[in-house]
Amino acid sequence: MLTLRLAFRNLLRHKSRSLLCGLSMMGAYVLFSISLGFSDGSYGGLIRMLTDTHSGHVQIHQKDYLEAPSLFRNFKLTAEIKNQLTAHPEVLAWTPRIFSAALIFRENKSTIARLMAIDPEREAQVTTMREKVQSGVYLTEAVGVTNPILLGLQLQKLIQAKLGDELIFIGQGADGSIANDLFTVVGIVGKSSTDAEARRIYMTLESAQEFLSLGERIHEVTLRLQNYAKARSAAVNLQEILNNEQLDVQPWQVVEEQFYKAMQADQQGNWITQAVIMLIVGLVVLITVLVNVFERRHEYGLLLALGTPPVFIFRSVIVEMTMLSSLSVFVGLFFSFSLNLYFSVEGIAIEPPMEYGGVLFSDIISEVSLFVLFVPAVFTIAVAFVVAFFPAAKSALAVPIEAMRGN
Amino acid sequence: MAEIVIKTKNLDKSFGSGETEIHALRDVNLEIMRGDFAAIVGPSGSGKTTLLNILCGLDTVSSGEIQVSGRSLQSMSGSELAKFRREHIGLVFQAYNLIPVLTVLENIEYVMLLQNVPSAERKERVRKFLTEVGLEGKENRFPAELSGGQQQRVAIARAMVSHPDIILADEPTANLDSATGAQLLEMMRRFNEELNMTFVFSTHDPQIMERSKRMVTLTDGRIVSDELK
Repeated sequence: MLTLRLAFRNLLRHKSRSLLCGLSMMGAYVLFSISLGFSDGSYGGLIRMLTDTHSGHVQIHQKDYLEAPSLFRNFKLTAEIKNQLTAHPEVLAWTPRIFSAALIFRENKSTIARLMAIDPEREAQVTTMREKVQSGVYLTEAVGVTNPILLGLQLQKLIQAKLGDELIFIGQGADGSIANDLFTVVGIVGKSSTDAEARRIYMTLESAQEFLSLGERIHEVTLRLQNYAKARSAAVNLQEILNNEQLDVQPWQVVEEQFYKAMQADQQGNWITQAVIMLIVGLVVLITVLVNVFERRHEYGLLLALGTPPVFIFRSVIVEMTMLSSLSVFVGLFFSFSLNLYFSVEGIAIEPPMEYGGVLFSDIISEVSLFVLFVPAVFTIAVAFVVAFFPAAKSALAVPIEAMRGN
Repeated sequence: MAEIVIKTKNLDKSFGSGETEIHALRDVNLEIMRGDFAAIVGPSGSGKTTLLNILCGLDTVSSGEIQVSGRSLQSMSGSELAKFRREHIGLVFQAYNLIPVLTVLENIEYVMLLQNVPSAERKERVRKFLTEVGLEGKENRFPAELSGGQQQRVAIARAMVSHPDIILADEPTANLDSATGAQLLEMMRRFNEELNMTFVFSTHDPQIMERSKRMVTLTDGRIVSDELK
């Protein structure tokens, strides 16, 4: 109680100095929190955008497919697998996919195109595929059309195709035959030529299985989970449940390894920025405590002369700084919460939009979470606590007579 | 026979070394009895304050022995000395040296708080000493709101309230006008008489010399006379 009283009154003793030190700590806390909020918000947004637009949260392939994708590395989506996926509590939806490539022709125009075959109904439950259609209709709405396709914007420009045009596809069948068929353009996908969708052709699973002579076989099942943060554990769990050595279940972090590694490197860069902020706070606190301790040297000598245990003096310096940092964080909590909340709704526009891992981003947003608010709080208080150790020890171990003489 | 509360034997204290070495105290042999009201006098630089600092364990000796309340101060560590001072010695300084962020009441009870004296007893003793030093009604004031004389009263109350074996006072009246000094001295003398408290002063003040029961004179760090009055 006496320690608290002394610490509190000492804080009030030099109000402007305490205020300056407190404001520095509060500023650093708010900066740290906002920086963490933007970091988490942006990465969360990136992950959501990537997984929502294409990769899903977990994918199932035939073993080795991810390392070396091939038409021939396929598997049969059995009723048992379907049931296991549907019954899994973490799985919100799943969709099968086939990937290949083909030469496409329209009159005298031709190009090579990447093909992605989907179950249109299921795909719309897992990704934002339906929203990617810029003109025409989605595959489920092309009633009565044989072999409907969605054509990427870039491909459309290359072969100068329009809605309703018939395209000739030539490719390789899984049985070694030459695959060829006619497909009808029912929609155009991709907002700009740089979008991943703009370089692809989407078709129905049945069309692709027929065209590529795959029978009931597919290349991939993409899963959407209740919570993307559980992707790793869900993948491990599903691998066990499927109990099939030929199948490989991987979370989005593995499927989109390049993106994930780039994100991690970026996050580490942010931690360095945050460490620099904390270092500055530490220096401010250190200078403030050293000035206080130097100024009160005579007083500490007096306290020791009166019989005060050195540990009491040590404690009072530590308590004083912890009190100031806690108070700063408490006030800062209001600002960091408000600012993070504001930026989580409004975001900051990026002009021009930035491509990251093949996905286009037009704004960065913040995030309000316990992590964003409390990790910087704990860090700020801990830095003040640790930095106060040296001056506190110096005061506690002072020789009373020398301290009182001012030596 | 009176109990010896302070005993020094062949005490030497020097500062610096070689050509710059200064002998502050030389071969000091002194015995202070319980109930003494002793003044250590001498010109400036004679070693009075050094001797007082050594007697309370704030300073160390170069050679010789010192015992206070039957215990050798030389064998104690910094924290043991702090504990010893807390329990056995009351200090009064020339510059009052109150704790500026504590009120009068808190300054007086400070040592008792460190001693873990129960709250009720603490309050009772503080109230008694506030009355004794004539500062009733001023218990919630901070030192900066008091006059020099009032601050020294608080310092005396702080030194005595925990009932130490010895009160060591370094020039306690030097910063006070003679009337206030005489008043405080009278008060200390009364405590000495009534409670048999031991007081040792270092002083230049003729008033203290006049009222002291014993006068020890230091010159160039040596005791040149020790008179009982």
